[in-house]
Amino acid sequence: MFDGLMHGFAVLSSWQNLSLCLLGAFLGTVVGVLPGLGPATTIALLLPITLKLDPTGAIILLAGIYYGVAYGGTLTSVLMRIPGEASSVVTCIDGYEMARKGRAGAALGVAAIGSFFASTVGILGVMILSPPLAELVIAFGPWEYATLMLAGLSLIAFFAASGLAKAGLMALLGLALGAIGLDPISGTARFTFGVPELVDGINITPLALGLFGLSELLYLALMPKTKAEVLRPPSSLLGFLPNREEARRSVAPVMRGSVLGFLVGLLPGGGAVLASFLSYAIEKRLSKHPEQFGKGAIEGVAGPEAANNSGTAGAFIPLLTLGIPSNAVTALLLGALLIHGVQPGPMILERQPEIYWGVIASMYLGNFILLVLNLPLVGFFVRALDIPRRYMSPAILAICVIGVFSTNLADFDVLLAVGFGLLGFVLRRGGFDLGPLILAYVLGPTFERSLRQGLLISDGDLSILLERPIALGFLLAAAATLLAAVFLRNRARVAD
Amino acid sequence: MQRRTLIAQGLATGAAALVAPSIARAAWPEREITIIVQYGPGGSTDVSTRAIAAEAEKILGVPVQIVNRPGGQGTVGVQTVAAARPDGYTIGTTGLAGLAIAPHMLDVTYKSDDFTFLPSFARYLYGIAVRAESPHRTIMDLVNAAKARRTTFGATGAPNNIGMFDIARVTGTRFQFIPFGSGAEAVTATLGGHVDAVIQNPPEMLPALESGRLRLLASASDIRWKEYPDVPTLREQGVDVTVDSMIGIIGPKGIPQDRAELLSRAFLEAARKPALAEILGRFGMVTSIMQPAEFESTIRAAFDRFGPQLREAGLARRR
Repeated sequence: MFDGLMHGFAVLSSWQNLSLCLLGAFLGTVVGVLPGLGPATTIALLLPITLKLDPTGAIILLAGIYYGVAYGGTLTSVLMRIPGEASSVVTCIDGYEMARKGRAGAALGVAAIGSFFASTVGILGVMILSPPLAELVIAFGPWEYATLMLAGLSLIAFFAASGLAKAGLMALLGLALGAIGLDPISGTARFTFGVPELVDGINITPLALGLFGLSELLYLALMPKTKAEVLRPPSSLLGFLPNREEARRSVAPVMRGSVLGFLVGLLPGGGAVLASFLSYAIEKRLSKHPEQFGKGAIEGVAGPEAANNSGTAGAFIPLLTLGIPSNAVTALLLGALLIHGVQPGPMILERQPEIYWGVIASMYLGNFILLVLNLPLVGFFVRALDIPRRYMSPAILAICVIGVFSTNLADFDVLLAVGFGLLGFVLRRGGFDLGPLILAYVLGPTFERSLRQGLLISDGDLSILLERPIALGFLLAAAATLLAAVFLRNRARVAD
Repeated sequence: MQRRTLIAQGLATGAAALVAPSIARAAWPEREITIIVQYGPGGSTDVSTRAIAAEAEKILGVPVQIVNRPGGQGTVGVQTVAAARPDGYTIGTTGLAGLAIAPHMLDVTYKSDDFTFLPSFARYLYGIAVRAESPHRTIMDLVNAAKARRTTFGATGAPNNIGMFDIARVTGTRFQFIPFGSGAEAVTATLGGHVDAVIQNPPEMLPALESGRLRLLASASDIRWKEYPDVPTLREQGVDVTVDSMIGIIGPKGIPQDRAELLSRAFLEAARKPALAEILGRFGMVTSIMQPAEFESTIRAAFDRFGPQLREAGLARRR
């Protein structure tokens, strides 16, 4: 394996491949920062260009964009409460609160360092654990997915600061929004009210940008004209460093997030979005001071940001070892390989080792480049908070609208985003947390599809669960989570 | 003044007549042609359309650009084509999904009469496979198993599932269809033994087939797969069923006949280039040329056939 890695670095050390790796990481960061423009769109746009490259160079460039995005997405989440990327939605919650308390630099710094650590874990995982983990991917059938999603949904009980009833309501709204579009089993349209644009369901971009970004603008407009307090970083170069307390509190969430993100990233349909949400919910559950979540808890940034990066790495295992793409982006990477006549799968190590090891070596280098690229800039980016609100707000509005429109070139999506902006504003005024809504929206469709697949396979027989230890484990975990939530709440009430 | 214009026109007509035999110099097309692809970039339809467009622009003498309009199960792009100005500058791609299957399942605003049909140039291949641990070796093994106990298969949707229903009907058995969001997910579920069989296209199946984790029981197309020349087709195994879908070119209804004929000739010529066959092969397709009339009648026949079959399977939209 060491020989393989050396071979990979040898492949990488041509001027062409080095500059492609750098270009990919840089483009990925830019795309991550820009809301709406996601990795899938960018890779799709660049696909025709990569036809002119050799397959190794093409995949190094495209993979660089893919993992670069996971770095860049954090920036606008923390500074403006606009999720730059779907996998950074959850960072809006505590990252933005940290920025309002003058700790934007710390939030971005922890995110960047945590991302680097998580990516390294992820790459090591890809190198060492690929074959056994490929077996895990295969062992996951509909029942395993359904129960995993159920366990994820049960975490909503711990998710919200607003209480179980309000969190539950938001979760139901999220499930309802996720149900719009094509019925996953019959393929016919439902809840579309005759609107053809709704047939493919509600895209996460208008939903997240509206609920978080646009609603924040309305909020800002209501606030009295005080300047947001920004603690100046001591020097622009060190402004990203978290203080000792923040660093101490971030270590465990980053480690947990790295492992969790990697495992979730493996699963088809899983990926970085799911990983970041699960990490957030778990950190809140494990935290000694869950009441700080939603008010600027650094664990709520460190865990999810680590998880979305290692999730990105994890998705390469099924792609490279089984030829199975686990999300839209890796599906495009698969397409890029096929165009070049490369068939990913178990045989790739024997037939085209230069591609396999070249990609892995480029991931090491790319992540290092991203760290070097991102950290010194944190101090610079934080200055954006000094911009007066009368300039900042129109800029945020413009970024959101362009971001939503550019995803599908659909004006309907812009309307949706405006609608969700108003909805998000009203809900936040009413004291509702938006986290459970997004989490349920992300998990709900996979839960429904898997559950209905499972029931079709077993002909409606639930006892099949007893023969499936993984699924049974998730089911018990879900039950335990719910019971614990109710129990802890009752105890808290008695203590009051 | 007027006379001079007349003379100029006369000269222009004469010049056009002189160069008419050469398509590249013809008065039409004067500017770039847009092909609307009904799926996103990077997929098999997109890549193969880009490949034929690259050949067609050499023949037509104007740029041929690709615009992706994915969405609505391939109906949004087709809808955009139907609504385009019928001047021949905007055309699009479609397969059976957009014109013969989706209209039975979704509310679409178009029907087959709304289009000018141009040639089709590629055909998808289909195959039925089981995982390596499965005892089945031929399609009849699978059919007999289905007679003995509940047997499931994974697929993305029509026409794959219709093919399995057809097999079940001609052999007097029943398969339970388990829908998956992508071909990759259906193959993964088969590898894990969560479903008994899978019917998909080569790109999703080849990695698992080559590593020996998946076993091809039959080519469901009317020819064998070039990677597995020893595995017979369904017909060769005595089951008279084929699964078929193609990529063809359509335009809005009302394109002037001379322009439609010129476009057809250009794309037919482009479809015969070896570079296209090469790209198609990598995405599990084969070059398969149908003249406009044949393409149109194939689409219409498939539309009529899929309606009752989808309704029977409970997959058609409620009216």
